[in-house]
Amino acid sequence: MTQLPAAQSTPQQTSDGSRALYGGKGTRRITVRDIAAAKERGEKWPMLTAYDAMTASVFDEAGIPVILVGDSAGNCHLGYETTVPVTLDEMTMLSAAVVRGTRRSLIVGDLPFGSYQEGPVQALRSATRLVKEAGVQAVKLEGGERSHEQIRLLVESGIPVMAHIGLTPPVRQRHGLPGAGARRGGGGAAAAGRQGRAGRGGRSRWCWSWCRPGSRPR
Amino acid sequence: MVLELVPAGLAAEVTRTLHIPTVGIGAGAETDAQVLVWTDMLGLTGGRLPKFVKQYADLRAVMGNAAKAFAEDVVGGTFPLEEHSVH
Repeated sequence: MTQLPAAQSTPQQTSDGSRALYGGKGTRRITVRDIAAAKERGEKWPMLTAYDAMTASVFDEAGIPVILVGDSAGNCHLGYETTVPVTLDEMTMLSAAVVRGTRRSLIVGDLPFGSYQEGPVQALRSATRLVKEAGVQAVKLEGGERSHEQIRLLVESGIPVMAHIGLTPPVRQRHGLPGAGARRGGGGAAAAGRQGRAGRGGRSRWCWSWCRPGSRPR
Repeated sequence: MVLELVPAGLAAEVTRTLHIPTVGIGAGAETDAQVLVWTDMLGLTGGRLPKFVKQYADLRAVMGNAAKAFAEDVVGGTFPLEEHSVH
């Protein structure tokens, strides 16, 4: 465990007058456009998970610009052994609580296992629930290349998407790697490399991940 | 796009290549953002944590000690006191 100095907030102003993601003074909710602008500025930013309103409010007040309501709620909040049993109903309830507990953070809701694999229409139906019922600003799903049809429809429908590649929990499970002892190695590393190469194809048609409506892959 | 347990060099190349932001977890220092699971970051999870986690607090100990202190107060009759009571 690391000893830290007392929490401090250092307001930052960027050269172009826009606010920094972390430490900015703005109180309106951060948008996907703000996140894109941060990349243009070369600004790094932190993201934390949260699964309930009170914890999320702490992170919101601490200035964490993006909060992920991850399907890690399975292990970390709901008492499941893995993320697999988590349902869309559960993610909707948890995401709604996090949205209610925050004012400034951008909230990303995770699509749980089984809520988008059937295809783009299922993905859109599931993502729409998170957007309409929970109020999230974006959704996350696993896969880059293998989810590209889902990502395309969601983005075309106006829902920003954060993709997720590498040694994700389902990949670990397929390779028999323990969740908590997640490590790079063996088939896992190969899988990570393969999917990383997929992700690198940002210039190809399918990698639109963390895309916002109106953005175009390049 | 989240890059989970992707080798650092590869994650850096992905980050440079893409115009969309990358969020790393166990993917080195070159991604645009970093994400941690809050229960790991604050030490609530317990047990062995993955190598890529940095633990910033020990909430499990804080909460456990507080619960024990409360229990001992109740068993020992030192909570509630007069100041916690209404008449």
